[in-house]
Amino acid sequence: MFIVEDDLTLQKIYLEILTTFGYEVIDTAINGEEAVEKFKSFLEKPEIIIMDYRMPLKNGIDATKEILKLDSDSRIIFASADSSIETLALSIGAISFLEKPFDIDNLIDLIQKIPQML
Amino acid sequence: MEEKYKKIFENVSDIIFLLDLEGNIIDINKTASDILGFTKDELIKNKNYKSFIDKKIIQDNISQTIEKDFYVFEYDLKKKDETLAPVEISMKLFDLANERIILGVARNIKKRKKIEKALKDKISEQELLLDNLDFQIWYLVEPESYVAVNKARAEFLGFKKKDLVSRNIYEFQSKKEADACFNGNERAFLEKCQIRTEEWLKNAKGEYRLCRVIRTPKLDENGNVEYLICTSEDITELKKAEEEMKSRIKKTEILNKIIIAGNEAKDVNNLLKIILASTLELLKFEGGGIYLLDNNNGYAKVVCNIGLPEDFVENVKSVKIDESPYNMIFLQGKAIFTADYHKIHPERSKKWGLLSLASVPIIAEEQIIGALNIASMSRYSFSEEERDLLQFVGREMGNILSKLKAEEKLKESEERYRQAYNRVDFYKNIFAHDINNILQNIKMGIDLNLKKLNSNNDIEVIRKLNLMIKEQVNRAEKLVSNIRKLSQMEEEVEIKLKKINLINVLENSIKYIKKGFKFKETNIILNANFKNLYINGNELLQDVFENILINSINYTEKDIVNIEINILKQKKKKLNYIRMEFIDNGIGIQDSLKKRIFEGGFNKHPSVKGMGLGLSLVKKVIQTYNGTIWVEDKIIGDYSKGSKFIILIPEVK
Repeated sequence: MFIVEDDLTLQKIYLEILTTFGYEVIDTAINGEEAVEKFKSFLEKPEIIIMDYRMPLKNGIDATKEILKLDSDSRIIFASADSSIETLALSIGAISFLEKPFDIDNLIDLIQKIPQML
Repeated sequence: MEEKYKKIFENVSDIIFLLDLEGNIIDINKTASDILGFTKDELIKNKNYKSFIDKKIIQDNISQTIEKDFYVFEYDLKKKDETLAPVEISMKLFDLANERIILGVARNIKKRKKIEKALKDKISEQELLLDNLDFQIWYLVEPESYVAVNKARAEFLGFKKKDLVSRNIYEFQSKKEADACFNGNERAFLEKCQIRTEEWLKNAKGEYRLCRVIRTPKLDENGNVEYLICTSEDITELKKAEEEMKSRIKKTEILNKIIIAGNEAKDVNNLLKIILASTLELLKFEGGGIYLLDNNNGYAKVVCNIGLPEDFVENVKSVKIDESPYNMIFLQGKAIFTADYHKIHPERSKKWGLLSLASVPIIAEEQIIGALNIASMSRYSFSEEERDLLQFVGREMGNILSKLKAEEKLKESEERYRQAYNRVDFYKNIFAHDINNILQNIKMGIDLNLKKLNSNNDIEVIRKLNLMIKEQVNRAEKLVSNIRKLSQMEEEVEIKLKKINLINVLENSIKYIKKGFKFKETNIILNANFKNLYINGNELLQDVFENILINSINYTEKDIVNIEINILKQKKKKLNYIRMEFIDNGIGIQDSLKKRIFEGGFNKHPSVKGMGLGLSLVKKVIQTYNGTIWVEDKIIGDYSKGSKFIILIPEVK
């Protein structure tokens, strides 16, 4: 798992939840630019990326485009309070969109369903 | 031979006669009989010439002939039928056989007389024509003497026509005028072409008149100047009318300029400058200024000036409207026009040399809103037309200003609506994102807590999650507070400041943070060698400190937050400042974001979430204190080690 979120508290919560549910978080990034840079450096690509939209330096949409260019098989879950970008996010290749605030169960259900979605 | 001469004598076309010195006809030819109708005998024997010529005339002319030897005169011979025969009689004295006699030849000059009469009539007609003209006409054959002049020329110079015939111009004109005439004449003679000049000449009444003089040479067949024909026209009134017309056109142009400037003006100051400059140009005045009333305190203030000495403007920049003479303008709405400024303000007149002044009220919607003043160091008498014009400019200015004011009000109102719309949009944005993000944290924190509680372990994690939830509630509270305060600041026209103790406010902020943010262990060290430091500020100073401290807590990945606060004094441009440094061990701020983090607010698209809004509030508050804020790296060149927020605020003793 790779978490891209500029809210450090939420980063920590994601980390706690995913670890609790047995997922391995390989890294975190606090903006789109750092996410792309870190993605390039991964020897083993993450199975799922949780991507925020509003972030400094580079937003989630631009970061998603660049990551999918690097690896079109990447599975990116968009998690944002801005529902207006849902259609755009899905159109550029995000696998799903979660509108904040959402429940932990929604997130875990989605992560579990991803292999069946492929 | 004699016969031959006799024949010639009898048959020539002229009358030939011989007289003794007493006037008796000795002989006369046949032509005389043919012309006069008398027989030869009637003419000689009866000595009947009395009937065709007066004997006294004959005798007078015989005397002349004797005296001069040869004499010619004209006479009308009376014919037998009583009609007249005009003749030119030439008489020559000579000796004939020792006797002195006179030979006379009378030539018929009827045709010549007819031609001469026709010519005389023509000349007289021409003279009549020339005398009938207003144009002055004269001609001359040399540069300094008249040959003849027409009636208009003679009357202009105060003479009769005949008095100027063949007169030297230096005899009846001043040297200066005669020189000008002479030069013009000489040029026409030398250059052999028409010369046009304008000359000031004194007329018979002693008035100087501007004359347009045209000198045209008449050239003979060899190209030499025979004579000059000169004409002169009094163009004084024409010139005056031309000047007046030019002046009117200029005034109209300037008025148009004022009106156009008014219609196109977007900026009041620029408009006032244009109107003032145009008015000065209109009346050729050196300087002026525009007063606008400040109704709240009974003063009028100079808002624009051109061409006035700085110390003069300083002296008159603010005047009391109920004091003389300003009350006349600002309270009674009367204009002042004077060429005796020294009588109104003797000291000012003496110090700055001002003599003339015009001050007209600027009237908008029947209210006096100011005054337009122009001043000159020359004595200037304002004409009625100029007075009307200046007052017109005053009224026109008032209308334009009133229109501009209305437009400005409309713009302000539009701006308020735009701002209100943006604010609504901004708050919508905040609630859609920032609050939802906080709610996300709270929701997940609670969910996770419940899951942990079910598993009945990880008490420490549960405790931390609870603290985090509390912190998120504080964050939401702070976000709401920031929005409210930012919104208030943006709506407030004037923010009132008072002297406050910065150290007290900072200590309160540190207490609040330590109490409210326990999710992370937070160490705050305050390095201040002062107990009291004062600035001009308000209650928002506490929000400044809290927002910076909360930022440092939120933006760190470490479990222990270390914040060091240094309070120093600094001099900048000879002013005393208080320098505050907030140094944290957070994630740091990349260079490209160092300016942007202060640019939140509803006029910007928020690129970061709620705390960005906090920093924009911080910057706005610091600016109202005439201070500055910026961020540097804690370790220069390595942003990841933490940030250093620096604030400079002027110190108040």
